[in-house]
Amino acid sequence: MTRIYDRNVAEPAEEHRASPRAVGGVGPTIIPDRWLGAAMLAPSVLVFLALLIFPLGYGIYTSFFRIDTLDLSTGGTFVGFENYLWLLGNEQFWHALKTSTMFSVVVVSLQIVLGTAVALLLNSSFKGRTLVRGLILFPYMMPVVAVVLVWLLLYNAIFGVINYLIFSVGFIPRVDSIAWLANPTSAFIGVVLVAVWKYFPFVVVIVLARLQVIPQDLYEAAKIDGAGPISRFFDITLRELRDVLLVVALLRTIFIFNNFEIVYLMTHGGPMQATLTLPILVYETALDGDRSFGRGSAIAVVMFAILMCVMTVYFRFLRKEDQK
Amino acid sequence: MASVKFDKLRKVYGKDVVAVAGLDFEIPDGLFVSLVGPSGCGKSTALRMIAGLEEPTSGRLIFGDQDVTDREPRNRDIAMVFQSYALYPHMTVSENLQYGLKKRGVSSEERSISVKRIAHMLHIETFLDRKPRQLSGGQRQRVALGRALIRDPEVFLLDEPLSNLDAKLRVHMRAELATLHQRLRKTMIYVTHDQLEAMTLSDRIVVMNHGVVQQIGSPAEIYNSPSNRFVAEFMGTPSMNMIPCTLKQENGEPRLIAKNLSIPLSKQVASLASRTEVALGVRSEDFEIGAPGIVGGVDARVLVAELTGAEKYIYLELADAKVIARAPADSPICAGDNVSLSFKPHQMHVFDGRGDEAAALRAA
Amino acid sequence: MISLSMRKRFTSVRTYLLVALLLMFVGFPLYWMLMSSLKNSSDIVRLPPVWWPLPTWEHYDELFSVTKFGRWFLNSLIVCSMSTVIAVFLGVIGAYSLVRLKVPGKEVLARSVLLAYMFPGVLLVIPLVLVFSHLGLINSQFGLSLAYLTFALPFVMWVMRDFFGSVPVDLEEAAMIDGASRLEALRDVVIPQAYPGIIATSIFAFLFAWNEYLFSAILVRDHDLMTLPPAMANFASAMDTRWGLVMAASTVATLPMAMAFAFLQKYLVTGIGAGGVKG
Repeated sequence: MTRIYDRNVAEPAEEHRASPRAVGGVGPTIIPDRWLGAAMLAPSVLVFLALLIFPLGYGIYTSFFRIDTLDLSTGGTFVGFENYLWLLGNEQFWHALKTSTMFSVVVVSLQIVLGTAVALLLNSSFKGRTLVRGLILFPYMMPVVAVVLVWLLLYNAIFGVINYLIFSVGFIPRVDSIAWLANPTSAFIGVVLVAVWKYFPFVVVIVLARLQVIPQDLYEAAKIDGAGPISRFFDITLRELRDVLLVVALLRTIFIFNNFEIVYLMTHGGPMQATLTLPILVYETALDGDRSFGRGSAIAVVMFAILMCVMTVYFRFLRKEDQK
Repeated sequence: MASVKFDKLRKVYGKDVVAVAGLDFEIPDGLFVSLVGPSGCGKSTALRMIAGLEEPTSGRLIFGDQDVTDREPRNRDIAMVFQSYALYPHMTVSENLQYGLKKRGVSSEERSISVKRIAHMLHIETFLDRKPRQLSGGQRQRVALGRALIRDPEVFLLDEPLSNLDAKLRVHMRAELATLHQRLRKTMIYVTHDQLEAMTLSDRIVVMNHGVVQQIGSPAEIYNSPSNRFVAEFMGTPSMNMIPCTLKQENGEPRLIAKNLSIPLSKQVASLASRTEVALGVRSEDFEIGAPGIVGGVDARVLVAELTGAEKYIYLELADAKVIARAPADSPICAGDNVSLSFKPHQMHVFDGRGDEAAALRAA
Repeated sequence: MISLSMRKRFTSVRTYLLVALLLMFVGFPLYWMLMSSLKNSSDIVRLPPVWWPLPTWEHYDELFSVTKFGRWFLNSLIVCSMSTVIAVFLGVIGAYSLVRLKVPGKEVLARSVLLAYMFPGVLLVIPLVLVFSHLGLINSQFGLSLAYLTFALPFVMWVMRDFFGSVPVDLEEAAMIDGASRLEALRDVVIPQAYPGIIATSIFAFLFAWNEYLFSAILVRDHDLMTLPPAMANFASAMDTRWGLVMAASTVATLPMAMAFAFLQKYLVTGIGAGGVKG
């Protein structure tokens, strides 16, 4: 009878490497996973290198040159830090930095407050909840251009619905009293409103997802402990949401700070530069009229540096989350 | 012919997490062998290395006379039943069964003949056209078995295949597996943490702990002559009782001493001990319970008496150790009683030390 | 003392009121877009506003017969399809590799994917213009679809990573033991499992490209090659007072999104959760 025996007492085995009999004709060698894995990733890595990493490096490189034509054969002139010095002494840059910051802070705060409120509403039960949850995502998924065009119509000073509504409530004497996008303050408010309208659904989605995983027994326990609705909201809901709100605020700030389309399409940065943000300044410096690619790149590099600072905070936060 | 030979097979994760510390034995063709041990003992890693799903860090793996260490799973002529069954959710039962044959270029006529044969054998003919999610746990289990059987491989690998079934079904499938092996006589390697499954199914058991093989043997050998304390305590329910003792010479005779306990030990066994702190192991069925004061007995106090149905488990305090003895179901013993315990002399195990690795001392 | 059931009813009335308010806030601009596109030109500028017009299709007729809207729509379709196909193909195999295979440095890579995805287009646009013009990729639909890859590819990879991660490893291993190679297991078992996810991801990638403005405006200047967003923006400023036409264009441009919505409902959270980082 055969039995399991210890190899120590067995004769040394001969090393055979015959071809396998299982699958017809396939050789014994295997492609190790790491080669296959590398091969499958290679095209994507290549795309990243060509379309992200290289342009990024090239953009930094460009910021040290004076280039004012698309014809690269001339190569431009190396100017050292001249573009950056120009930047620091340029009032427009500081103004745009301020506008961008203010725009981001206001838009993100409003989005978070509105988004959280709506998420709380959509987390309570009512008929047709699933449908409503879907419908409120429409603004988010709509083409920016279409959004802007509709709102331009709504903001129209002469026959726009917004002015008509304010007029019918009696706040303004005549329908055309507010020229929304022609006045610095109202233009800023107008653009903020559109940005909030388009992007708040993102906050809703994320917060709602988080709300749904708060264990119900936390609320039940709090109820039994005698906590009222207000203290339940602050002690449980907000506490549970704190981390996700922080992340959302960070992500949205990065996004809004760098957002070109909404503001540009609505106002082109005007009136009187009231809505001139950094992305628009980059566009105007390098891509529209001026074609100072070097200077434009210098602004972009500064924006990139700001982005990296925020990202560092974000990744540090993620790591802390992972450790929890 | 497909024996499975481990040649110093080793698996280390990262730098120093040793999952399997050198397997070095051979499983002969046609046997049902269980790899058994607590979770994390390396049994699953060992099985996955046989399957080719895990690359060994060093060592060779030989099927019959072929070195398969570097072969892809598909080139090893194995089949595996997964704990989760791993049925392809988007395929019907019939497609699930056929997939392996298809990959091997079997014609569709032959495939449908095989499906019929296997479906008949496992009584799954009636739901060949269903998707796995429409099946009960027991039915899925059968399909998973069928998917392995249909290819008629040299080696079957089974990774805790019964652990997702309820207790009753598990006993039933256990019997079916045993019948199946009787019929097929193919090498089956079975991983389980359930020592009872291993005992009832296997021709051979490989007990593992911390990536190291503790003992290899038939179920009877493993149960009756565990090689160390870990094996002794792991195999069998309730676990083997361990009474810490001191080995002393009294009047030139070696004895095991613990509080009111003093048992003579053969000189031959005593001479094997490397220390005086030893443990006496006794299985619950190897105690005899009698009235207090019986000659050769040790006084003990009953803590709890538990009726399991067929018999009673008597929890006792014996020389500062808690032990369990078995008694007939109709035994009148109850909590608080004082009794006398005696040992069946040839059913005592002495372990050289108190840790898991303490070797059993046994006269040659 | 108010009874519990009355309080419940009050809460539910309040809920419905708030939901109605929310739907008005979100829905009114959409409603207005659609209605204005169906109004005749004098109704659009009428005060008080015409809330429920007698529909006319004249703007849609003009849009497709007189303007080049059809052409631009087609251009968008071509460019977005190209970039989606490339992104989904590369992203799917790349994400699978990131999830399942041992690749040195894949942790770093996974993180760079997220970073790449969050990277704002406005920081890339200058070097892309310079390089593309050097390579002759300005005014090229292929060039534009490459530019779209900068957000589409990381998006697809990031989302597919999750989908693949949720497919049990056992299934692939079973397939490999059954005789499949790694790639066959991917094709036969993993992709069918992740299929709905792949479709949803593709649609999202397509919509993000469809909605993109900056790259489209800068990389394609040729009137006949233009995609919808910049074309519509130009068109609107050229047609300043033709609001009916502009709203008809906006409505048609929104259509693909509306059509995809029914299907996407289930995946909106996943798609936007990742997508929202940028889009």
